[in-house]
Amino acid sequence: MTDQQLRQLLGSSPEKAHRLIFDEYYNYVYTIVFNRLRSLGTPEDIDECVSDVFAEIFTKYNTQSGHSGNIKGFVSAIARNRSIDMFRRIRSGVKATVSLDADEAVQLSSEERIDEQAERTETAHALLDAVKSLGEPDSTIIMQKYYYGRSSEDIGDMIDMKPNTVRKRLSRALSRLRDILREDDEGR
Amino acid sequence: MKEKNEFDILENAESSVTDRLEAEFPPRDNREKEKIFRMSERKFNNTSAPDTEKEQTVSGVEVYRRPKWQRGLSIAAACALVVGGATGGTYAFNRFRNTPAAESQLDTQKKVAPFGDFSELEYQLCDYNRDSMRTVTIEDSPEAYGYFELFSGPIISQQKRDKLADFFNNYDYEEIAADTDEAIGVVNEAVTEAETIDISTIEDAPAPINADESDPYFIYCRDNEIKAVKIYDVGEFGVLNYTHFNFDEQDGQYFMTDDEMSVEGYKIDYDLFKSTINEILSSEDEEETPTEPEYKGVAPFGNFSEHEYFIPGGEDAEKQIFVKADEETQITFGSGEVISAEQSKQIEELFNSLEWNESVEPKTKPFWLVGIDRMTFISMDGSDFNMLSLNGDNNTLTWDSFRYETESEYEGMATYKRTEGSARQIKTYDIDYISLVNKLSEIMGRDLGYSIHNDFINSDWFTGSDREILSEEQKKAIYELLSSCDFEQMSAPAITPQAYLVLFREENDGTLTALNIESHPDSTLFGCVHYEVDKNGQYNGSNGSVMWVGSCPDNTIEDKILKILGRSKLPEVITDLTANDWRFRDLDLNSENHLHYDVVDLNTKYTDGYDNSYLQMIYGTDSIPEDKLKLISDLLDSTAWYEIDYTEQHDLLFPDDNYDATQCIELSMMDDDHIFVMQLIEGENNTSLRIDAQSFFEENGTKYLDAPDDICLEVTDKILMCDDPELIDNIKRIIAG
Repeated sequence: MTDQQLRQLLGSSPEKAHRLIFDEYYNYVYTIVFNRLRSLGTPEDIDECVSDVFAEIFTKYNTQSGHSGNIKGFVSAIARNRSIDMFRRIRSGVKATVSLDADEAVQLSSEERIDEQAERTETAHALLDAVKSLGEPDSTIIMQKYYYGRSSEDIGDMIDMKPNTVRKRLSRALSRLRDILREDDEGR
Repeated sequence: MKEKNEFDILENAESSVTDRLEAEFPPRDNREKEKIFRMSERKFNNTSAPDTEKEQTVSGVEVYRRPKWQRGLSIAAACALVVGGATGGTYAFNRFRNTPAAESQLDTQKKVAPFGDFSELEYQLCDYNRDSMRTVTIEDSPEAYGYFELFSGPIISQQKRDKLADFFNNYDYEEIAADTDEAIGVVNEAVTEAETIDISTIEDAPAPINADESDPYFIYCRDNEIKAVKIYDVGEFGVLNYTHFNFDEQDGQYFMTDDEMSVEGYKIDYDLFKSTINEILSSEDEEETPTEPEYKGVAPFGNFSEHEYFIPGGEDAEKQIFVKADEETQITFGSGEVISAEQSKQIEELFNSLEWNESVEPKTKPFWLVGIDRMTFISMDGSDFNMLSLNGDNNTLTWDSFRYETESEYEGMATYKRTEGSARQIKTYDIDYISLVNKLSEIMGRDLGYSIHNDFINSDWFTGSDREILSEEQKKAIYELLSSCDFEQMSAPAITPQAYLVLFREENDGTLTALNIESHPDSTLFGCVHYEVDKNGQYNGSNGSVMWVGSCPDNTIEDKILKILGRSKLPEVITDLTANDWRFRDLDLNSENHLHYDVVDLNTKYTDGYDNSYLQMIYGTDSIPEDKLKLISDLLDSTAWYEIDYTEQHDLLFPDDNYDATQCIELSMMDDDHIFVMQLIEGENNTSLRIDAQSFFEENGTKYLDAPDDICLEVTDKILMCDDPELIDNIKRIIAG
């Protein structure tokens, strides 16, 4: 759906348009927000932030707004800005007691850390490649468990599997993943 | 917080990583997704302007409407048009030359005004005091200010439009012909003069052409079409200006071209027009005001029994009915049985006995209290559709009426639509939903009005202290009490997590929603907080996320809820004074009855294990008879107390304190292991209540001070305050008999 079509839909049926925008960009926004807040935020913080992002998108992206063109860029900018706001808010202690260790304290990327960031990015891609090479459903199980932090029950629901089976596959998949990563490392 | 693991490397990553995460490993939790969508919509709706028509569903009836922000943008909404800009105005008048002759139209059989039959289109009245809604730029205008500005304005009722049409259609217009340069010259001159005045007063803003804003100005706008009728006094004669154009939308901006605009001008009797129009408008306005005597006694939507109303059924009704009220609104409901003549008459009496005031800005409830409680009556007599929807969330009744016709009819299903050209009238009135629905339920002999969507009533709320689940009656009473509050949302989450009164509800996902209710001197503070619960079902306050904080200017809410819950704000020990031997001690040092410390020799009676003596409390000497204790108890119980923070001035009074004995009172009570002293101290406009307790144990006839236990701590922590400075005098009067 193009920007133009979306705007037309916003004019005739905003609820439908909201739903479309939401369905289209939910994963995108969630991924961005989650990626930023994963360590620091509670699940509620993340839900809060994602819904803030969409409320802002709904408010700012309308038939009348002067903004034009790439909606994905627009969505991405709001998602990144709001998650940084939320990150700072949580870190500043507004939300009470979250202990910070040194690692997390430097998470907001700064210019001096470009080198490190590049290396991190490379490692991140390598990790994702490794996870991918596990094949389904193991890669999903691993990511849902260790990245998104979901329970075995939730994952079981997601991929239609008994929680017990999920647990079993999980431990096996994790050791396989470690093997793959070790080989990768040695191969370098 | 999550445990640390090797996946942390994926955090805070560049977009190349997040793009992959999104594509290859999306979050995939649909429940969460739906929850977030609802949260987003709610936040979005909360940030848009309050809206009388925000409701999505009506019990048994679904009404689809656009939210307000959208309607605000829509040209179809009530709006008016001003030919904006200094030169833009002159420009418009120059175009008189292009207009066709009016005579041909005047010669038609049914006399119609040259600008059409005013009653046929939903003209609205422009109100310059309202916000400008949008601007349409004249694309190829050579002038800097070639634009039209749209203002919102009141809708003119059909009745009113009929009267105006009657007048407009029967007037003999004289067209300002193309060759009357003189006339145009006069018009332009007048306009220029008007501009000069306006520009000087409105500073930099381009002045609208109509210097006299009291001149009636009508606007019709639907889709992309605009028609405007405006009268001017240009000195030598009056002018009626009729402008008609279509415009285009591009990138959220509105454009029209020069060619698309037609402007016609007619000579009129300005004074006659102005006075007639104003007379019709104002006479109608008076009629519409429900407080006017002629309308008193009849509800604004007429006598209820004159229509065959029914209460629409749900999805399981015999027939599903769809009524297209306009392009954006389809009303969906099930058929229902027509209300009996007798009940109909009773409802009519009820409605006619009420005062009906049009709702200006209905208050919406905070989201946690929204019940989607609706009650609807519909009547369809074959040509007229009438719907009365009572809305429990903003305490309004909306009357929606229009003429309709059948579109299709099948077994079990029928579709109708509003007759083309018939106006849809929507009016909203303030009501007290709960009391009205209770009365209607009584008439109908069944419970109406609480919907299955009412999250507040349909949830299992429990209190923090004992996890006791509230009864249906308690929930209903609290809901009704809270529904009457005048809430104002606040931005600062200034709530104390440990309010005295907290109601909890477990959500489907196992999290807890907590509703904190806290009395303050002039208001009650409410906080709606979401908590995560650990494995043992214990909530962890630090993980709360504040969903809503607000207040209402009434400091008795907490007290009233505590009463509903059968709990008293007063510490348990004084909820029923008659249960113990409470005694009175005269605090006046000079009084004969005053019990001096040296007389009772507490030093020897209360000692701790190290022989340290504590001058603590004296058990009064004068027992108070039970009937008097009962009166004092009732008095304390009926007082609206609120808690305040402790300061030194709330300390118990001691003999060497410099106090005024007429402004304080002390009652004390001793049981086997505690002594309680309650002091009330009068302030300028209030009275504070303080209780202190000491625990002791007795050995060989001597009472020894014990370490303060929970009982002591519970009562001593609390300073209660009420806004009644007379309380002490009243208690003294009771004691004196």
